[in-house]
Amino acid sequence: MKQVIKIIKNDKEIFNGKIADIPIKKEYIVKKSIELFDDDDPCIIHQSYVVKEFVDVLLNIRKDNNLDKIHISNFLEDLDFIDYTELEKLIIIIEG
Amino acid sequence: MEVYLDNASTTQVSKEVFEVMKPYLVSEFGNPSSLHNKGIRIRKVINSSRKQIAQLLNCDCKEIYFTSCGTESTNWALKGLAFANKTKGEIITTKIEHHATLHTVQFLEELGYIIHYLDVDKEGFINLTQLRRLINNNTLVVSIILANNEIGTIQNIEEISKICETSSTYLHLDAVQAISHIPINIKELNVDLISISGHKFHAPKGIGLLYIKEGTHITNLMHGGQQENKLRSGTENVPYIVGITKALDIGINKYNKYADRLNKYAQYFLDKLKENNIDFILNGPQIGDNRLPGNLNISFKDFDGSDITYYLNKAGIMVSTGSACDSTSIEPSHILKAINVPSDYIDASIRFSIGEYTTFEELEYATNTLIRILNDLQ
Repeated sequence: MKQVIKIIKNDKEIFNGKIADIPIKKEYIVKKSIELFDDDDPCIIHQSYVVKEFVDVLLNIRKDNNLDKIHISNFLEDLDFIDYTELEKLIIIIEG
Repeated sequence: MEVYLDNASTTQVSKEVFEVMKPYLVSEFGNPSSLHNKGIRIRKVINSSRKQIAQLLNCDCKEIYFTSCGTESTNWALKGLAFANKTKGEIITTKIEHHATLHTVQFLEELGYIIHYLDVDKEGFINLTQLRRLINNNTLVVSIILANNEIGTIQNIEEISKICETSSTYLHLDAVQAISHIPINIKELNVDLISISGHKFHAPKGIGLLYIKEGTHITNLMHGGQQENKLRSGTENVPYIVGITKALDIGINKYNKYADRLNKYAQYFLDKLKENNIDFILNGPQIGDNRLPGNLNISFKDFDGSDITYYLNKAGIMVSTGSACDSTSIEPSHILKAINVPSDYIDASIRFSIGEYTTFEELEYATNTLIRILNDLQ
């Protein structure tokens, strides 16, 4: 997962980094970890696996819709794990 | 398609093993210590199993002890020697042992033992000159992993055994990954203790063996009843004892064909990667007599191993990474560090372990999928 993402809000870049470092709400990580491992206190390897599951959702949206610029407002239900407020105002640009 | 290439982690219980175990889970449930028909029949089964295992491994049946797993066997071997032989205060092991050994000797270090860790070369072979230099009359035991669980290196036990004899030092082998995958003749090996685990060769998880050479001064860790010659208390796990015996019988008798086929498969896998210009390193020795059949530990340049395994898993291909976690980070394993895998390769080290039930079609699918994933992740 070498892609870099930028998260834009109101024309201002609020995140620029590796896709694997995308901010994910803590409670979503725990919820997913319980779903996959029945573990509410996952070790770093399990956390890393869970993060990949969320990143994969994002990459699939990009692939299935042939988009490099994703308006979260169009995929709010799928991308509500992203740890920002006012998600509907965010745009994600994926490079690579 | 689902492809299981993680046979070094564990193997499926074979149908033959499952079938022979079944009666001992249901109707033949007697306690072997009971002196009635149900108990007597079971005692006979345990004794016959022990004799059969001894015959398969070429040792005396009194030297075979049933345990719960390889880790218990190794703990017993090392702690049992340490507690029984307090006049010697040093232990020699290697930097590429399984945690069952490393964490046990760390525990013994806390009790005052001096632990020496042998270096290995880039293929994982231990430094015999260093062993000759370190061993002395105060060395209680040398503990060596016969075939490495991650990189498949098979050590030169004959030479190590000769070195141990010079100092009257016990030699313990962790043969968990080796048994039934390479030929083992205990008398020829000339070692004192050998740890074995059933689930690595199609017996269930929860059964292991410890070979203890007659005359070895060792104490028990499990106190209670008189089972296992009073050295390992606890009611015997009869179905699993029957299972490991069957698995060993099948495993040893199929060895030659099995090794040839797995080596051919492994070579095919590497050839496909080369044909497709994949930049990789094979960790451990070349495919052949010095490497476990079917073991491929491969590092890919400038990738993240967890990404590769994640997408392999999505495609139904199950493998392992050479990583370990502490509380805050994912680190390459101590074994890969010990053989000095280059820094731009080490983070993408994956173990593909081909097994008895792997088919060529599965391997073909796995290699093609791997190559596609590597190209996608580029």
